[in-house]
Amino acid sequence: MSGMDRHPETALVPYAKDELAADERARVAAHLDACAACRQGLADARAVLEALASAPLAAPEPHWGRYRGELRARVASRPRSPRWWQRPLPIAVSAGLAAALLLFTLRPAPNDAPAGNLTQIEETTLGARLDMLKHYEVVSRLDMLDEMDAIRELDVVPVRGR
Amino acid sequence: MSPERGEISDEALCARVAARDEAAFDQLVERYQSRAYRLAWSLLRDAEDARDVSQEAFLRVYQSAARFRGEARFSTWFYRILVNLALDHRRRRRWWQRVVAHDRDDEDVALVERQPAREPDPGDRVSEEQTMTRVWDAVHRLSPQQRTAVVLSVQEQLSTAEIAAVLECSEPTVRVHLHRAVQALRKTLKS
Repeated sequence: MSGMDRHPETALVPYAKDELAADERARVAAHLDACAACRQGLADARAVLEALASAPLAAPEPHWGRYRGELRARVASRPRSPRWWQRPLPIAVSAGLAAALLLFTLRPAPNDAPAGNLTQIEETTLGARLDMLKHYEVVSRLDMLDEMDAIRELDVVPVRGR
Repeated sequence: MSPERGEISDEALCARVAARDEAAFDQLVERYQSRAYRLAWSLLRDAEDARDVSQEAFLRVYQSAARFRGEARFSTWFYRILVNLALDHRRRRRWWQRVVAHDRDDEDVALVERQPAREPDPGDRVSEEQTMTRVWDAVHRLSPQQRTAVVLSVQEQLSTAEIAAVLECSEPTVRVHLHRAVQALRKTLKS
């Protein structure tokens, strides 16, 4: 088969409708010269297309005036698209920005802390001594100091049986 | 549709519709109403559904005309809207039929869908009209994509490339749809 190894079955309808580009059309034509099966396929495709085109479906015609009247009513009653400020995203973004602005405005500045606020003083002190964290292992065992009183008095604890 | 001399193009009318020009919309409807209804009817085979779906397609044009960029022809864009609506409508209708129909009714529907074209009575000469009725019935039994490709090709005279643009698939895919459709219809035509 010249110019085409496989049967160009799917090209037969476009060939019958004269839609193929020149090079593809030439390849299909060369194949058709040598292939009886594809010539039969082309004849079938032409027969089907011509039969359908010669006897189109007869759709029942609607009353066009009524059709357009219904369409106008549908256009008039269509749901209108919301304005930009009515859409969910702008509302969410606006609300978020407003909340962020409010929090920023109302947050207490560090210098405004009243002198008597002990919690803030402690936090400030601890914050200044963060180097303690270098010795975190020691710090984490400070609760052992709670037992120091008992350890100191071990030598005065009477031993049973004495 | 190519405009006559001095006639405003579909694309220009669509631009006016985007600017809410009601007269331009009426003009587009008048140009396309017959083809839109006929195409919807060919795909759905129901007058009321065809009216509803084709009107919905015009409504979509009215609402989204501003989104038409003119990259394709207006007719291609419009057919795409209409075909999508029709196929979606048919899918929903079949789903609804399955939901509401009892087993027996459902079997009846499936039987109607599957049954081969009526055989002519022996000895009767089958008229050409009857043959074509059977062929169009066979078209209706094709897969939705094959049926749409056939109707757009034969009835609307769209090229394979234009059908691919409407169906949003590749041209080779449309060729396969048309080839398989022809194979199926050939059997009906010869029977």
